Amino acid sequence: MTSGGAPAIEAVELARRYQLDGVAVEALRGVSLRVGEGEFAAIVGPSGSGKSTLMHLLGCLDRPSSGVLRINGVDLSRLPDAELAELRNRTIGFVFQSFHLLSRTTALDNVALPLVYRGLGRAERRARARAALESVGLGHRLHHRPAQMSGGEQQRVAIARALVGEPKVLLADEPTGNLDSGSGAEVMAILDRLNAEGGMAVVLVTHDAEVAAHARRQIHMRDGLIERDDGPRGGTSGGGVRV
Amino acid sequence: MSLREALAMALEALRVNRLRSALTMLGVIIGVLAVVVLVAIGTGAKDEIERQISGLGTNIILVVPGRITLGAAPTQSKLGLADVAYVRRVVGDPSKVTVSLQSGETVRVGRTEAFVTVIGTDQNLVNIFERPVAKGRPLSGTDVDTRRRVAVLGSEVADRLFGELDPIGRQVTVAGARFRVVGVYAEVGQTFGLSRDQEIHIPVTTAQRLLGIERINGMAVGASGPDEIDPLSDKVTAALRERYPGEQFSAVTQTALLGTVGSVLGMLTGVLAAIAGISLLVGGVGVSNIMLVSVRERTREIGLRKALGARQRDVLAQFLIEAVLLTTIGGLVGIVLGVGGSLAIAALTEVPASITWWSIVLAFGVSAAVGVFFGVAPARRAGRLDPVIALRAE
Repeated sequence: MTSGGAPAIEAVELARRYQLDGVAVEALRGVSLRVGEGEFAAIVGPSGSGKSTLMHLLGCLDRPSSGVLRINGVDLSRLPDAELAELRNRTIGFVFQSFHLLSRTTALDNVALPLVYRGLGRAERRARARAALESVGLGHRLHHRPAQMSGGEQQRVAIARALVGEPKVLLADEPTGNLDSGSGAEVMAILDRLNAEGGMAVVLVTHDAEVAAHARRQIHMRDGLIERDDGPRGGTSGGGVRV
Repeated sequence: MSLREALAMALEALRVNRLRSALTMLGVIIGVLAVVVLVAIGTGAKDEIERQISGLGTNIILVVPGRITLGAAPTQSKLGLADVAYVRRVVGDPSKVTVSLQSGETVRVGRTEAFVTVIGTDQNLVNIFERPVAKGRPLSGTDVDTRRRVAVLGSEVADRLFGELDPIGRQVTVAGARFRVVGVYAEVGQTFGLSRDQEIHIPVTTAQRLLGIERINGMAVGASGPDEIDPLSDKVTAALRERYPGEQFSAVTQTALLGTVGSVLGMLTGVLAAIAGISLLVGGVGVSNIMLVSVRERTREIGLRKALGARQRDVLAQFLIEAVLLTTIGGLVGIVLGVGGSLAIAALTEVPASITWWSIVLAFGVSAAVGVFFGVAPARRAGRLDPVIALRAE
């Protein structure tokens, strides 16, 4: 998996400060990070360590207070909101802990939703969404609503939605957090396969060492800083990670 | 995102919350319904009165003493029959001038009584007013000159007093004196709420003696054409002022009457429309309220859509279109009900109602504008939601 050109993600001294009831909270205090094309990295750390904040920054949902962030070579600080939205649409795929599916909408239309904002026609959207659902093994659930599916199936729908736009980077925030171990393993197997076959960079945030072990690189966070980063070498299959 | 997509999305959202959408629309429906129906009634009343005024005849000038202002008590008349003769000389054609002396009196045939308007007039009335005689004859010059006790009955009076019987040649007691019926007018309907079919016409000279009044109420002059109306009015009033220095005389023409009535009823229609418009505005506030609730409820959905690549204006458009759809669908339903209601009112009641295209266009335009106006604030709020916070919302 050779990566030519710009890394998928490049962060330099990222910081993010909030004002919470007048009190300044430093969620990130200078994080530098490179994630190459096709890499599989896990961000681990206790809650409050800043990993969710980092995830939101990497996903272009939020802007850093200072520092530089480039996604696929594009510097985000200069992008107006509308272009940031387009970047989210074309370059990034999200998987959330609580799935975030539209409850009254079928699996097929849920998966097709990102393509609506890309301006694709209905027929093409549906064809692509169908293919994405088939690739996560849900070809038989196209017209089911989220409530008619198990948690594992719902998360697979969410993964199909994340990859229907063929992003460069897939960001998964505790993707197995709401699933039983069996469904969690299924979801992780899909992420492994997508990373291996599609060459898509996968960054996941997790508490779970077993889940983190799927990644070839572990980034440990504490108090808004990267405490330890055993990458970007690839191939270290998480052997040194404590539970 | 194309407009079609946005429309489909908004329709879907409204469909999902059917009951809430319907209730929200109800405010707009009632507002538009009220606008269409009230304007139809106002317009219908105006048309009806204009029809009544035109139904009097053509090119009529009513000459009355005093100055006519709306709401002022009528001036005490100083005019007598000598003045009528004077005006006849001024006008030149005596047959184009008639006279009116009115009084409310009880009339009786056998045991049947009725309270009617007794009008003392002359043979020229039928030359000036549209007043066809159905049976018998109108008043004649000889009736007037010899003070005959003869009467011509309005159609309703004839029905009330004589029923199936032919009234011609029969006796009727007017204010205690016996009269012979010589004619019955054809039905002509009402003017300003007074039925002209409830009148009895007797010679003006007879009326003066019977009622003990020398003064007359007014005169009517028939102009030979529409262009003659204004010059003739001026000529007659000027001549009367010359005869009675310091007194005022007014000439009321149908055109002036139509203008006054038209502007009063136009104003009335406007007020009705404005009141209805307020209810439409209240409906708009309801839409705004529901849209704010909807934005709050769907905060997570908005966050998700943004995460998937929706721009601020995509989200804004989605919610704005929802609001506008609520009011325009409500507007269309209101128009259909309003038109139906107006037709039903016109068909089933005495109230005249005539639908005007401008009230429909206005009602629809206003309801769409209300949607935009009241939808913008909630839609902007939705568009500006921070996706990180929105995704975290419960």
